[in-house]
Amino acid sequence: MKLYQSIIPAMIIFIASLLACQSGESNKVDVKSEADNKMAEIIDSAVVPHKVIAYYFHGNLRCASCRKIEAYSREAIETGFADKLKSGLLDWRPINTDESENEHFVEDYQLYTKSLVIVDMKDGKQVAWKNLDKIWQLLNNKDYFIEYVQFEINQYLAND
Amino acid sequence: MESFFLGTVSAVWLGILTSISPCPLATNIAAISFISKQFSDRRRVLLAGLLYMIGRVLAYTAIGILLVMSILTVSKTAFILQKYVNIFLGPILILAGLFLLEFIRPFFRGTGISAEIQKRIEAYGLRGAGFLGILFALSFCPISAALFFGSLIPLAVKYNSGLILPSLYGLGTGLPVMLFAFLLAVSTQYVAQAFSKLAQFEKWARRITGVIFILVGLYYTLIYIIGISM
Repeated sequence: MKLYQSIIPAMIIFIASLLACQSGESNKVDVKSEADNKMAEIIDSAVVPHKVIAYYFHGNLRCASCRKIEAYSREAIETGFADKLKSGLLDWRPINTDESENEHFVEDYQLYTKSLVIVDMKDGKQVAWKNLDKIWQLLNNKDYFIEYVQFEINQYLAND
Repeated sequence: MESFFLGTVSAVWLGILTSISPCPLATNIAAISFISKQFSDRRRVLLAGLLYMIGRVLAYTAIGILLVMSILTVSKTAFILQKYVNIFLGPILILAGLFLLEFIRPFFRGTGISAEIQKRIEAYGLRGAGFLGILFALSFCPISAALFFGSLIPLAVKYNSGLILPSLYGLGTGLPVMLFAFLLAVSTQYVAQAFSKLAQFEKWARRITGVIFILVGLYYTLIYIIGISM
């Protein structure tokens, strides 16, 4: 009987702490950015001479490391390329691949986990893309992470 | 040859990195408690740890061979495994936890446990360690998927090694778990001996393992079935 008495409260505390964690953290997904993506895709179809898109692909499940990657990537872009973001030369787009209309990205960019992919667009057409796969190894070193993302985006921006 | 040697070291290191990253922590805790629960018999703990590692090696090698031979594609395999295995993981662990707590007794009837039945349960326990290895290896989380599909598989493709490099990666993922399980078993054995209550401690170790399995199972159920984001 003692076993039951000790297990049940432990489980209640565990579930309560999970739910508390959920309400505190609840989807930090940038809703505005998700909505902006639709508009951005429409704008893409209009011919723009040169543009770089930084996609962050995630699913419905948002782990701590995945949130960290999204936050670092966004910071790298916003601090390094504020003027390019404003002029529309660079776009930041978080995409949920669990939504049916976005499932094609998994095949398009051969995704295998949450990923940061940069795409080089010329005259409305994709000419190159790169999965920045080192982000997972640089996760515990924010400075290198930001430097890496900015370096790779700069390479594409220089392709003008 | 020298560069293949570097490849083998990288494979083991990627495995260790996967194992010590935060996302497989819940399954690692479950595995450590399962392997070390019969701490009075060190040979048994080592055997369970070895079987757990073999389970992991088998799982990664199977995927590695299929991917290197291009029978499967990386992105499809990665997404299917991440989507479906984790859904089953929760209920399986809860059931296993209930079994460890003796709420469920599927293998025998009657009230008393004879020596023969006890032996059979122990055999199931050892096989269970191998099964856990396979199951936990297949339950990829974002970091393990990134390291396995994004770093190990390209390495295996480069050296055309679907067998050796994924096996070494599997060993790397199992090593820290086995080491911790063994240390935990040895230290618990000393404490239990100091109190001269080995059998009682072992009974509790089994119960604690059961509770851990149920908690980890609930954690996976909440995330992957109910869809609570954490």
